[in-house]
Amino acid sequence: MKNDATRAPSLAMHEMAPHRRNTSILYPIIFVGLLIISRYLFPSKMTLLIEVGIFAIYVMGNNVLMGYLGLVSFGQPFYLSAGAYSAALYLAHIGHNIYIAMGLSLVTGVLLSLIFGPSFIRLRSSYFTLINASLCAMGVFLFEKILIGITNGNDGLWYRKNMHPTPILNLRSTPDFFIFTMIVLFIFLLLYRQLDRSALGAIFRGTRINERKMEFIGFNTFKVRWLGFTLASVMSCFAGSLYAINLAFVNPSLGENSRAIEVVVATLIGGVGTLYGGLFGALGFLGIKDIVSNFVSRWELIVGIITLLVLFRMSGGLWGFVSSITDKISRKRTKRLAQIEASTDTLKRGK
Amino acid sequence: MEYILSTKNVVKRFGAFTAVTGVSLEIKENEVLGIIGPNGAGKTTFLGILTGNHIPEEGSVMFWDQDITKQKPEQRVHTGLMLSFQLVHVFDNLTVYENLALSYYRKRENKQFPLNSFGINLYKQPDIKAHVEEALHDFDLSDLEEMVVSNLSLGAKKKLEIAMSWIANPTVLLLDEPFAGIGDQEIDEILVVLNKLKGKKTIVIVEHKISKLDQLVDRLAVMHEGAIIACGAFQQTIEDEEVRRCYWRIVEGDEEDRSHLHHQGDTLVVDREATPLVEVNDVTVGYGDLEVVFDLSLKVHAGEIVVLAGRNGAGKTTTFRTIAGFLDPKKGSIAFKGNQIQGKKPYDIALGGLKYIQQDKKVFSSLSVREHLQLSSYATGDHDWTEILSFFPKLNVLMDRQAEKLSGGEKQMLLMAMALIGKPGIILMDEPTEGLAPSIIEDLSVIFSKLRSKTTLFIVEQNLPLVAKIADRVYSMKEGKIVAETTKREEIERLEFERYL
Repeated sequence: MKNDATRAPSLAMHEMAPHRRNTSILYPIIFVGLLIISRYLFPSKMTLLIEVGIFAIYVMGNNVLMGYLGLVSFGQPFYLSAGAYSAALYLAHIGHNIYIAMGLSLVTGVLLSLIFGPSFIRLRSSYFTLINASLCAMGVFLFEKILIGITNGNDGLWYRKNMHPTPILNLRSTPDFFIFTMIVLFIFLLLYRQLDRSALGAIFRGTRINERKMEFIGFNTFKVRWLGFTLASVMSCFAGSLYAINLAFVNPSLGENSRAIEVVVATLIGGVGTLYGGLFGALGFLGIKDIVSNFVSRWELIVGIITLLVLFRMSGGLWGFVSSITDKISRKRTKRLAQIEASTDTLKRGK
Repeated sequence: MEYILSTKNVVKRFGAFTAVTGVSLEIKENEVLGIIGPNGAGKTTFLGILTGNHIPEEGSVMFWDQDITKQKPEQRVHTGLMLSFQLVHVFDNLTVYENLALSYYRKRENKQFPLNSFGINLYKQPDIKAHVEEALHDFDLSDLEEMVVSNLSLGAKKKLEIAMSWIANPTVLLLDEPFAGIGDQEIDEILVVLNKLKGKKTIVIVEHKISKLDQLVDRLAVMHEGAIIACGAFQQTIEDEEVRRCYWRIVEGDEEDRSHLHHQGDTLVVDREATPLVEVNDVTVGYGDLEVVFDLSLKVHAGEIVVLAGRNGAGKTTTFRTIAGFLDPKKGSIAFKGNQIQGKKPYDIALGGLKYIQQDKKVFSSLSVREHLQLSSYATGDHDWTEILSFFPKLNVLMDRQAEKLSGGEKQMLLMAMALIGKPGIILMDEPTEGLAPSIIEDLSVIFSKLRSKTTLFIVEQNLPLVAKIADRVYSMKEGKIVAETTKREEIERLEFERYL
């Protein structure tokens, strides 16, 4: 049907669509490897690195909504705190198994998206953003006032003594929990990479840019957006449970409206709709915060200015910046390969 | 039921305006049905009723003997109806390969939302790859396989969109003006593919380029003011008296005086020695690393009608966008009335008297015609519409209609009226007659000739007979360069510049 001469010339890396570049499986291995190495280089930063791992999962969840589907939510802290509370309430009042607590948060995420998804997903743009924000406000009220009998309201829940040690990796100890977080992060990066490469990723991207056409080729975009919403909620809830287990403490401030901006800003810094934007966003946001707060008490101001710089100077956020460097390397390599090929050609002709 | 698709007295209203007034049409299996009609005749709305984009207020739509009147578009796709739009609808942020693969994948799974999509890599599935490669080959898109669609030319996007419908192997293929805005060569490529499908697939095609349809269609239907006025074999329909009256405005025995269409050069003296109104010097423009227009120089004198002709992808629109300030030239200079304008903002250039009307006929969909004109008046401080409306009497009637509900020809008139407010020195128009019916094009060409006394026109146009009628100077453009310039009337009328295209 087709001979090799008419085959499309394969494009060099920098000419390819952004989501078709840097798909190598080496990246998640390198990134998680670097995080683990830094833990041993800077032992004092271990808690920060755990937070980066958890926050990265949270930001990646938000990126499904914001980057892939183009839905901005100002209510992600609600899902985070719902996940945290479902783990915390179980550990404080019912059981002792940390893994069951995590499982419960996943169930909570699915239930929440089953309950709220169908109505929220019908709303577009700013309405979607704001209904999530109001849900967030209600969540704080729920955990602080209505459920005060079981949540202790603003005083928060403490339950470290209820958490039984787990075999192999003892999640009660911080060093083991660090390893666990890195494993979980690695799995999420792999799943995210699969999402990015899969038909589902293309369906998400296509729905964002042209929902009508997606309907006209026969996809039910309502279900598409609902699934995206579910993925985001489940990932947020799971990240919440990791927070709850890491700190062995939760209080309603985790789900406050004012914190909704953090995850949105981190998504922007990292690179909206990109594969590793979530990880880089979490790293960038928490890293800047960690460094700046040593010098200035109002670190948000500096983070704000840096965010603006990143947004104006780097298209595609931090990950976009990093991948432009890898592109340059690949560009040089293709050039060099072409030169080698040309010189071998002339050699052959010489013979 | 012997018809694959049929409508019975469907009526669709938009507010007080009835777009489709009781159409009954039967489509046989494996026939190619063409639908023609002036702009605003309700053709696109009727196709919308077939696809589920519009739900009719009255009447019914049947697929074999199944009533699909109330089904949504994605439900109808599963019964095998597939639409290609008049304005291209593709996924701009995906690659060409992914666009096709998604369409084929949906067909293969035959579900509204296949849950296995998370596990499928569109590039790795052998059957997806084989089908996509075959479609890429058939539509001559193989070179563009890995390109992001937003970087493609309009013609390539159109081909891609039809390929997307085709790859899903629909039982009925609905094409809404597939040939609008693309060059003859690309039209012929698409025709080759459609001719292959002829007799094997049911195809409904709405199109203005009738000359391209006669070999393709089995039957031709003509719509006028929301109703079908004739339907039958191609020749028979074309020669139908009512069709000739409504569509071609030809009335038997009435040899209308058409001299007004012809050149009026005697009454208007163009001073070619004076400083040109617009002078483009050695301009090179591109998008990112990609250069599209190279060392381009051209002149437009006051009072002329200048046409920029050339195939799709020749760089005509890029040239216009650069002159209007939407793109910055990489090198070279652009002067308007003797002042350098390169690097200035589009709104400054527009207020300076250089207006630009884009190809896509975009209007502010929620505003009325009056509000559009008011916007233009606020910007320019010119509130006197009387003279402008004398060129476009139809706009008086449509003053309070929402712009979204105007037909293509009416939108073009509105955009021209908006551009004329503020007495501009020159108006740049990118394919003003694209997708318009012959009778409307004739109206517009009369208007163009009348406007010569008011302003200078610089037009991108692919309709060569029209160019021959109106142009004083023709620039032929090819692959980003001006390849010829013609100023002699006789040469323009004999279309001698065509050989350069």
